[in-house]
Amino acid sequence: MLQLNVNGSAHAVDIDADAPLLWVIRELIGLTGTKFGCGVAACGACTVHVDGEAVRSCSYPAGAAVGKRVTTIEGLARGGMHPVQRAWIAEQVPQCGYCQSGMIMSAAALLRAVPRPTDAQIDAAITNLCRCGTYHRIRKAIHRAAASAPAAAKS
Amino acid sequence: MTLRHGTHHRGDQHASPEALYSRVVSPTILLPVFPPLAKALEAKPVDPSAMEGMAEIPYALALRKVDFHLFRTPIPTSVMRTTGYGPNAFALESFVDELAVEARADPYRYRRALLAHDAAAVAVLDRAAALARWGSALPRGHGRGIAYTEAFGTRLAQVVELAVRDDAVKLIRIVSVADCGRVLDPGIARAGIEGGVVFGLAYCKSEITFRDGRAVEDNFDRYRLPTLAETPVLVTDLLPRGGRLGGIGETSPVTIPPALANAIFAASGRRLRSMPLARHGLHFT
Repeated sequence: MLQLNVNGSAHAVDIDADAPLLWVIRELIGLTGTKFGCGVAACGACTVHVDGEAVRSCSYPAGAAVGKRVTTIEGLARGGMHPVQRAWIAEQVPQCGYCQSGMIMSAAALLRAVPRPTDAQIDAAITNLCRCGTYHRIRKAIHRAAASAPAAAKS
Repeated sequence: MTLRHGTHHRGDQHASPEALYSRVVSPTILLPVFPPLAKALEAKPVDPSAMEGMAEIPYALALRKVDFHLFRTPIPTSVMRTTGYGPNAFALESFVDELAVEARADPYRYRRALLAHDAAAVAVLDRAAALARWGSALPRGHGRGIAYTEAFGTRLAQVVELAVRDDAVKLIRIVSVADCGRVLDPGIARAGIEGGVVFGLAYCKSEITFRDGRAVEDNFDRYRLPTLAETPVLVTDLLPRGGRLGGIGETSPVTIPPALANAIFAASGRRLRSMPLARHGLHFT
């Protein structure tokens, strides 16, 4: 039995410590906003925060999250909307949408660490894959979020 | 693809080809999505989808012959985004670029002369060239490549600007200008073009190969998609003339591979007659 804190709620889950955190989030806790893409940490569709850091939950052992704060796309804003989500809407980023919660989680983690990132910092931090090719708008949305709410981006 | 070139003097900007002979070799791509084709293929082994963009071309070229050879393979094949237009535009637009070079003509003006019969096509080409600042000076190792197509009821011109340093290709800007007839939602149309540009870049970056009856590139750690870091500034414009609705999402990747290859030639003098870049020891950076 693992004790996990996901989006501020305590969850006791009956699973091996080396089970992927993504499995726990989707199948045991039922939060399906986080997506399975490749299963080998290559695409980033499964990105969540563990203690504020972006991790690829398909390849992150659930046991490693014990005693830490796990945040998924559902818990990013805690009511209302995160500045990254607002910027995503303003720039009309998503197409099919499948990679977008992972993208938003990666962008939010970047802005937390670097409130006003340069293009080079965005390039280095956002290595998630998008088959629809929305990268151009993702870059614009990150700059917009950085400009619009620098204080909130640090939360 | 072979071509009998028109007689002309070196340096004659108006030299244009007088005949074009193309030979298309392709497996069927239409059959899996349109099973009724099976009977027709048996009677006459020509896949109409694989001929798209070669059976009809935008340029004024009266003397043309196109052969088709159906490539039979046990590997299941189907349409990829761009259907036949993509592969055929790569062949045609790369070849037209080589002709322009042979004629010592500017690749944009060379195409413009071949499209002079269609004012709408010229408008699309001109807008793309203007947005790309075609003809303005570039640093050493930089280059621009242009390509034009008419596919899915849409006229499309794209200009790729990049820099080549050793084996690394750095994309700088990609301009797309489309006349897709009537536009219902310009925002979605632009997004579809932008996404298609990146999809076209994927065709230039990676390929699927087979070994021991299986795809080698079976996941995203081996099939390497374009990344955000590799994606350049995208400049997109619409010149809608109204009327019929033309395709956008399927059209936009069509001319990326030839525009990219033509830009690599302009930047480095290397002519790529196949994709992806990895086959030539090149990679995006």
